[in-house]
Amino acid sequence: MPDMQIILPYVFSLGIPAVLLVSFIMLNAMYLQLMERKVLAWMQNRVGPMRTGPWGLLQPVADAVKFIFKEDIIPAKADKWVFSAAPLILLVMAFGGFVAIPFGSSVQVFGKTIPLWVSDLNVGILYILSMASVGTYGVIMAGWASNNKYSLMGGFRSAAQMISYEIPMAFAVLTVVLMAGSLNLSDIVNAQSKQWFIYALPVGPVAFVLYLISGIAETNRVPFDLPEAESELVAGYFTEYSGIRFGLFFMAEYMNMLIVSLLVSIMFLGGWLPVQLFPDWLGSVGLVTGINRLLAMIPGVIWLLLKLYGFMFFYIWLRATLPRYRYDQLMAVSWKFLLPVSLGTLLVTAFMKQAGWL
Amino acid sequence: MEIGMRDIVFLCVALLTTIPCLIVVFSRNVLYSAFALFFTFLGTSGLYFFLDAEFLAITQVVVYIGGVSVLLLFAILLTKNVDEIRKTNMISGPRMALAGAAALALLGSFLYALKGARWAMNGNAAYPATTIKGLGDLLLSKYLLPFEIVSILLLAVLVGSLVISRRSVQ
Amino acid sequence: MIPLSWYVLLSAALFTIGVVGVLTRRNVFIILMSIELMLNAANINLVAFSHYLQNLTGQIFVIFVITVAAAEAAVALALIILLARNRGTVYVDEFNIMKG
Repeated sequence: MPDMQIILPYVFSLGIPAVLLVSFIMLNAMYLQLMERKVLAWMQNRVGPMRTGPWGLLQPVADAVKFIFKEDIIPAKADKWVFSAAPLILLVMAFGGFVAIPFGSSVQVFGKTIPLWVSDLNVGILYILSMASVGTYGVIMAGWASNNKYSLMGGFRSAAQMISYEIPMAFAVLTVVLMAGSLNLSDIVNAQSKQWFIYALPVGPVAFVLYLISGIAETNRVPFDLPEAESELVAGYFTEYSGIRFGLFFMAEYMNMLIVSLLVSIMFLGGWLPVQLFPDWLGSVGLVTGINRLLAMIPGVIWLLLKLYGFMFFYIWLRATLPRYRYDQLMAVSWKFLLPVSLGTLLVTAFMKQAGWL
Repeated sequence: MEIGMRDIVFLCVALLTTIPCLIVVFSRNVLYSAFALFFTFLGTSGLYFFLDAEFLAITQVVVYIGGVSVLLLFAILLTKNVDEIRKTNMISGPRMALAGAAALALLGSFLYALKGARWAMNGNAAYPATTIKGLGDLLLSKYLLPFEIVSILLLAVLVGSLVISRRSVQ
Repeated sequence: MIPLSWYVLLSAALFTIGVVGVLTRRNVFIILMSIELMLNAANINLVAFSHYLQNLTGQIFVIFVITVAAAEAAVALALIILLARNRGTVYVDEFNIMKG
């Protein structure tokens, strides 16, 4: 029996954050689905799910139960091993990305310090990018193993799309890394305490838009949802999946959206730093400092979650609004527009950093 | 020797690297090889984490898994008749025996060299806390020339592969 | 503490498997993959030595190797696709047009 004195610090520094993180992810993966259906419904003048539970609140539970108890079909001509490994790879990589995300600086509970991250990697942001790129592999595996032409087309499209959009995404991230001077996500947030990077004119807003566009493309969402375009490819790479495996794909998709939204909030919108309605340099007018102090009293996690759900809403809003890109347009946007612009942004940022203007 | 947690994890990672390696080489289906390659690269990245080379571990994942092996899969799926596995992939007869003998000789020489090796270890010195900073400093000072040459190589590859894969040359 | 010889042994095994692949297979994709395996084995060695010598030069070298390997894969795959399109095969012993 190991000594409690040795284990206890690990419980507080690792165990509790990990449990909190997993429950956060699971809860979100379930309820974002409901949020999406509700918001879409309101935008289309409907009411959305209302039957299960008050105001449809138990709908995710019903869906989960249905996913688990439905028959899990593996097509006869499918490749059994690869078919069952693919959703797991996607899910593991999506979970893996969350490990490096800090949700705030550490909090004090009953005199114990509990960090709001599982692992504060000093290459955090690169790590999350790499997890996102590995996810592609699961998509291609699923597409090929299903032995279905629609799935294969979906896998193909996904591979090409991910490779094309990863490059502007990486450049946008590098711009932020240059501005912050660190690859560590906590350091990036702390570097924004004076000024959020989205306000860092002229490169900040450009990098923000670049990252947002390529992030949406990476998660295969409207208007870049060609890998799963339901009007052309049935459901793309997960056409043949059913039951819990289908549920895993669904979860992975929502988790990837969460990661992209979290990264946008952390990299450009100051993460858990409070909104400053009036910057301090306007002068210390009593009212202004009062409002700022009031806003700063709200805990950092709440701020981060507010920004996060703002972006989730944006995702759903896009889905309700925009039509899908054509395939050649998709490629043209990445290679002919995003890539040159992102390279230029990086160059300008490097120059400004060297000149001391940032 | 006491076997600690670290050793067990190391062994798992080492197995994750080597077993898919065997599948890459001996599987009859090219796509299985490509999928196995993914796990080998992942295992290698894990080994780099063991060796405190976080930046390299991440680079390994981004470049090899996100880049090379996705490209490889893409290429395999683009060429026709790839999963026609009735046609064997192996060479046959005396050449096979020769290849096996060569590989055995190579492994033997490796083991022989390993047996007599005296490692010059410097285990006491503290590793630089942030290897990224050290790497960046080295790349932009001592190794600036190779760095620039590699960037020119990358440019050449970019242009070259575009020229090669263009459908028709006017 | 994991001894250095474990890493070297692992890398030797990986390299040998790669050599077997290059020598015994006819499919050009698998030959390419085996070459990547061999490069990987070399990289593991370099990083291990860099760690145990407490010297970053090995890691710098690995960065160059990874870059060159990626470049090589890009060009090689472009060539292979072109070859497969023109000759209709991916087996190396059928690429014998230069054989007088």
